[in-house]
Amino acid sequence: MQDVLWIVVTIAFFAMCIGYVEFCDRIKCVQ
Amino acid sequence: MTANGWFQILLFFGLVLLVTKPLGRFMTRVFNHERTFLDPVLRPLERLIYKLTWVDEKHEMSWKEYCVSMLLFSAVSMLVLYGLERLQGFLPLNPQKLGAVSSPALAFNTAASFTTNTNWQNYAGETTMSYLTQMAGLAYHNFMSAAVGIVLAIAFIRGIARRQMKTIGNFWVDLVRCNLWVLLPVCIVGALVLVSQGVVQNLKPYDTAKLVEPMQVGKVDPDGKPVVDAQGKQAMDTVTEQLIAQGPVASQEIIKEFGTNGGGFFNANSSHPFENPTPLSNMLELVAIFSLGSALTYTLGQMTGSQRHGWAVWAAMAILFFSGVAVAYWAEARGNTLLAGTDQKGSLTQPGGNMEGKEVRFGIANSALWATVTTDTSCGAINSWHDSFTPIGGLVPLANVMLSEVVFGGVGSGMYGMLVYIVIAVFIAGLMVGRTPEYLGKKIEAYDVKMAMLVVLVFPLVILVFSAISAAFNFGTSSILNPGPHGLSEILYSFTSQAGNNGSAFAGLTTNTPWYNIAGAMTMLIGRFLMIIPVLAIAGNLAEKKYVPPSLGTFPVTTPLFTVLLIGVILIIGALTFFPALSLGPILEHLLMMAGKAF
Repeated sequence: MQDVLWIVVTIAFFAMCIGYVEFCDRIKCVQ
Repeated sequence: MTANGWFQILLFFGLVLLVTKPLGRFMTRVFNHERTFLDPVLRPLERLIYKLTWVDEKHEMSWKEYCVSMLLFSAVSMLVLYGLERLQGFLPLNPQKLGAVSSPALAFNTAASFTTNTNWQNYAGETTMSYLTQMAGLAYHNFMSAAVGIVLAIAFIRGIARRQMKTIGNFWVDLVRCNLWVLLPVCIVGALVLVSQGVVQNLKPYDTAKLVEPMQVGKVDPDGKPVVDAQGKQAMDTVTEQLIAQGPVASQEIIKEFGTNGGGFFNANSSHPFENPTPLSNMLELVAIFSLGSALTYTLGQMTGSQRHGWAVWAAMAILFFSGVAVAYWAEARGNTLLAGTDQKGSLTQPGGNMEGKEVRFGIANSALWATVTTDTSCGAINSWHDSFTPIGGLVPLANVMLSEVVFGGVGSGMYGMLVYIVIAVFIAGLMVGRTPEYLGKKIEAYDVKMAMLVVLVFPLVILVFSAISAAFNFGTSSILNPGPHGLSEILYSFTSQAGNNGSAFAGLTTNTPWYNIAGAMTMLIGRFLMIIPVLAIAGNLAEKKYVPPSLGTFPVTTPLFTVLLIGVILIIGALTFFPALSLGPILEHLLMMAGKAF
């Protein structure tokens, strides 16, 4: 069960990073 | 300090200088897709890899595509390593019949650690990892995480060099070329040299040696805690045999240093005689740690068309390196002032100084040098115990990591970290003269500085928040083995090392606990990826800009004044951010030691 938890945490972290990529790109547009 | 000690430090630095230009020039050719002497052998192999993986080598990527490719690659690699750790008991190449990495949190921490080039180890390699995990899991990540760092630095440099372009290269092509042309050839030769020095390389079961004299050792439970009897005394065991661990060490050892990874095959890391058997292997490993970081300054100069700028950056790194090693060597050679009256001077019969936690094969000069080098870069391999350094000696590695490891730095990460500092330095210089700052013909504007500040802020934020939580609650403080300011230094060093993707431990802190495994893993992931993303955003933005020819008002980035300004910016940002924490840790400990109190 814990294995599933850490796999989900890993995927969630990298999904959040991809969101952060979008955030850094959008900042440029709102300047 | 001795003349011999300084001679070895200068010899080491001379060797680093010697490899800087040829290696830097070679990397320029590799990443500019120019012909090299290895092309006849490697070009067909490269084409085959692209064919098998459906990579179009002509395709160029925007910074976002480059970044997302890197993130997806890292995510999949991390999950594969996690799987290997948990399933190794069912997989081949496991002569010791080691079971799965017992705790899922530890497996998660280790997977995050090796994916981020940190190589923080909450486990002992020889008692935890099968040969398959060591080779296909950990050594694979040593190559890949190093290559990811290098290609990100190259992408940043391309961003500076390109004019009005929306692309910064192809992540997959850069990754393949970095591994095939740069890392693998050096590591094949380097591993053979290490084998010639006595580093082991085999797949056989561990050897057993009968002790000449049986020993009494304290009994410990599977968690490493002492077992006590009814009277409260530690139970003892009589030991008559010793297991001597074996394994494919040389192939992992060389990339551990050359890729500034730092994760030891054995728990004792580079103080283990099978990882680092001779003074010569010690010197070669030290040079391997610095060589790529130093060479990348030459690549920076070549690819941006300003070789003098490359050397100006190199000079800033060299000055910071010598400052660190001089303080560490002085502090350790001076010894412990609490032992006043004891002869601590080096002589024919004793090495002198503070020898606690140091290998007699390497002595004080090589231990201080290694501690400085391993933390100037994001390597984290050790050949002595940083916990046993004097307070000021231990402050040097801690401060090095706190300066974001930009002194030659982790492969690639040091260079792009330094480039972020350069953006801030030219921004400050621009503020002083009241004009828009420029860097190598590119105007540095609000967006670039915002991204640079995101990079600079994430690092202290993650360190100080997790350190504060650990120092405030029982789940953090219960792991401290030394009280007082030394205990705070242990916590601070742990999170600094993990956020900086260094991986060296101060030791004296039991970190294989649920809190430290989870908090540490998150620190490493945030310290790596949340810093890389704004770095690539700057690269993409710079690549789109027009070239502005230098004018009389342009701040030159090729002069000693630039080098001094850059060092000032690095020190001020580091000092302002971390001085309050340092004053409660190693600085307070030093003052208390002078007053006669040790921890």
